[in-house]
Parts: sequence; C-alpha cells; structure tokens
Amino acid sequence: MDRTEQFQWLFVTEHPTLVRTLHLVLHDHAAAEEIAQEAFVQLLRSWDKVRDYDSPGAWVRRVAIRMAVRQAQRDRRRRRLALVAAADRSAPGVPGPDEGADPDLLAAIRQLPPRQRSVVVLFYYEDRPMAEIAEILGCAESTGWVHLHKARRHLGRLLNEEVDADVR
Amino acid sequence: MSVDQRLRTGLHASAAAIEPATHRALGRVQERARRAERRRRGVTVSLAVAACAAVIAGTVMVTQPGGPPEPPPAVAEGPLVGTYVVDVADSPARRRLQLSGRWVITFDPDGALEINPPAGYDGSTSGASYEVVDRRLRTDALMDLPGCQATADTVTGTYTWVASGAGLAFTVVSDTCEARIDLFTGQPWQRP
Repeated sequence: MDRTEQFQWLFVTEHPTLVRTLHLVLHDHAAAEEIAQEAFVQLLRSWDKVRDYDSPGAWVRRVAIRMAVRQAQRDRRRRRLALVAAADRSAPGVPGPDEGADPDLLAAIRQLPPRQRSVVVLFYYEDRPMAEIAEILGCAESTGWVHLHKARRHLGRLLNEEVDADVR
Repeated sequence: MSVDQRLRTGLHASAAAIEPATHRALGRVQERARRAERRRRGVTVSLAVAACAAVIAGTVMVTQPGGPPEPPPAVAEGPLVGTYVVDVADSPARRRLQLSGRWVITFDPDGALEINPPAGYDGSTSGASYEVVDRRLRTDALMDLPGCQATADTVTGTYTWVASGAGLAFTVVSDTCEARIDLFTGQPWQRP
C-alpha cells in the first residue's frame, strides 16, 4: 500500500467508530462529524510521521476526543449562561426525538461533566482499558478511575439504578 | 439492572443507530489537504518572488552611480514560518477572554497555525490556518471565541507585519475579533 492508500484504509476503518464515540460524547451529530474531520485533517498533515507509529488510530482518536472534551466544556458554559439569561428555554437533560434506544440514559449522560462523559463512552462503548483511556484524555490512570466512579454514582442516582461496588 | 449493564447496552444500541458519512468525509479531508498543499505552494512562490525582487533591487542599488547605497531598514517584512512566543500581560479584559499568559504559536510551511495557549485558555485552538496574500497575513485563529465566530464577513483577520531578528510585530488591517487583535498586536512576538 502506498502512502495515500494507507491513509484511506485507516480512515475507513477508524472513522465510523470515532464519529459514533464523538456523537455519544457531544450529543450532536454534526459536531461529531466536524471534529472527526478536523482530527483526520491534522492526521493527514502529520501522516509521514504518524504512519510509522504503532497505532496511528490511537493518535487520531486522542486528538479528536480532546477536541470534543473542549467543545463540550464550551457548550456546557454557554448552556449555563443561557439558562441564567432565560430560565429553562432549553433545559438540558430532556431527551430529543432521535436519542436512540434509551433516551433517559443518554439524557443522564449528557448531564455529566465532559471528561466523565468521555470516560464513560470510552469505557462502556469502546471497551477500552483505563490505561488507554487515561492516555487518550491526557490524565493519570487513577484520575480516569475517579472520573468513572463519580460518573457511575451520578448516573445511578439519576436513573435510579443500583451501582455495584467495583466495576473492574 | 445495574447501571453498568444499562450503560453497555444503551450506548451500543444508540451508537448502532448512528450512520457516519465516512466516504463523503474522506473526500472532504483529502480536498482540504489538497487546498492546504496549494496554499503552501502559493506561499513558497510568493516568498521566492519576494526574494528575487530583493536581489534585483539590491543589484540595482549597487550598480547605480553616485552616492552610497541606503542602509537596509532595521526591520523589514519577512517570512513568517517558525515558532514564536507571545507573553500576554494580565488585565481584567484579557482575563475575561482567557488571553493572559504565554502563547506559543507556530506558522507551519503548509499554512497551518499551531497554537499552544496558556493553561487558563480552554477554547479550541486546533485547525487554525493562515495565508499570505499581497504581503498581508490572513488568519482564522481563535475563530471559536465569542465575537470571532466564522461568518461570511468575519472568518478572518488581516494583518501586516514587520520582522526583525528578535521576532514579529503585527498591525491590524481589518478584523472584528477583539481577542485576535489583542493577541496579534498587543505585544511583539518573540522567537524562543
């Protein structure tokens, strides 16, 4: 495979899962597609270097998830400001019509802080080990576990579900 | 059902309902890369033309009879490519825009603008670009800040610059983004 074919192969294998993950983190499909695209543009710019890495897919995932966390943090601040300005015009946590099989679950996830949200999606949807999740998010593994445990407790309360003592 | 089971089941079911437009996205990514490459070539050609013009001008000055050639200016427009450090002093307005602190900014040869903001800045800085047209810098840096969002009129700011061995100093030509103007013109950009 030449340079371009290698990139195309990586793109078609990684892009679908990445967009789904970003969608679950952001709850916004257009934003998920846009961030995935931006991350792959950055990957292509650095392709001559990154193609030799053990896992170029991990590189693009790290770039994309970090962008998504930053975007979610901005959205969260804007939503707070909007709520202060206009009571509950767009109350967070209200599921939309296209929120999949478990809208209550997705609405509850949306109430989590962005980093906790990302840990939850990477852990339960992508089935990634915590060491890898911590690497993607740029934090210590122990911090990743703290995010996950806080998220589970919060979700358990919101969904009225039992939370097992140990997830590992 | 435990919260863990519900998360595994619910997230997989929701993800399965999402249909990414992968092939269309691949086309867009490759098109953006081609555009960046064309821009990079344009910048290279512009620099080459500028260099030729400088050589010709120098030759003309040297061969003109009578009078010594004028000394070169202390500062001159020069190529931007490289890394710069921008120390933005603290102030209430800058704190509000999260600008205070040290920025490390790199003009890549391919038209990408790599921006490493200070720790207090939590906006997105990725994907910024620049181009040089008629010795003017156009950039969309910081375009996601309030007041700097992309619209038909405000997607880019335009600046001129002078370069010295120590760094760059920008002057705004047109921009509606308060934060970008401050970052570019509020202080000189130093080479690290």
